[in-house]
Amino acid sequence: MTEEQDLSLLETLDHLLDRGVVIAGEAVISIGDVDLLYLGLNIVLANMDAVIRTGRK
Amino acid sequence: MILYVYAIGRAGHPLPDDVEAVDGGGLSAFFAPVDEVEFSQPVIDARSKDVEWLGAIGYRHQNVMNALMRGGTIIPLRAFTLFKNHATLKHHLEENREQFEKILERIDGKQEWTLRIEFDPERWRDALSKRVDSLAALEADVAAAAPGKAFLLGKKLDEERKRASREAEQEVAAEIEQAVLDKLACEAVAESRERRDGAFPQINVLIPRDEEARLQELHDALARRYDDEGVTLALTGPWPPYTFAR
Repeated sequence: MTEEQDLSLLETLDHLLDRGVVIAGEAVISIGDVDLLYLGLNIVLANMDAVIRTGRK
Repeated sequence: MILYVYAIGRAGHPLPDDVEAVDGGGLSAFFAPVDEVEFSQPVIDARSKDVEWLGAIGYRHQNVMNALMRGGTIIPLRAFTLFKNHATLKHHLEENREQFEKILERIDGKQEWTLRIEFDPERWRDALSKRVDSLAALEADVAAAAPGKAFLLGKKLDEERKRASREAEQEVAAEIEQAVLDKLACEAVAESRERRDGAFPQINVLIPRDEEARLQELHDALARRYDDEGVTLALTGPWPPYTFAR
């Protein structure tokens, strides 16, 4: 992957994972009981922000 | 199998390859069946730092979304929106029909763009001293103080800088949001650094397709305005309107 593709992937993930809604590292709901769930992937995304920043330099 | 749901649209919306639909209340939900073990909480938690895996899911999600958007307006859902089966998904559509129809109307013919506000650490620090008089005064005190006192004052200065930086960042974000709202026919949602868990703040805007050039112009003008202070504005889009789809 080129740096540019890498960066656009990170931007894409940043959008489609919506880091703010979920609580860091925590599952919000489990599949068994409730139909709809978002999963907590915040920790990865915090690292990604650092990559996005350095990627720009 | 469980259902990985990409989006919701009006019934009869064209289906991309490998995407299925469940109808309910005049709407369709677009999904792909996925393995329930592979998408179970423990497996996802265990793999959540695997950027290759996340990336593959992200690419697929984005590609399906793009294909769906070529067929007309859809309500995009974030990654990992999972439903247990067809019945629960159909029920979800019927139960929330009115709300989904309102959202579809809201985003018809519109695009989401993101203005991310990035602060260069060193240049922003210098700019802060110019923005905030008390910081400049404190810096002068530190420079003039004897070593022992300078150490203590230096700690105080660091604290003051952090506080001033937080406040000034919020000011800049608010100014930019206001400028966007003043100049464009749009809706805007600002996301602070706190909201984004420490990542740079951003402003998501929903504009009619034909406002794109004006948004670009406004971005360029704002970029020039803040350039001296080490503030960079990254404009990306168009994105599926995730922010305005709820």
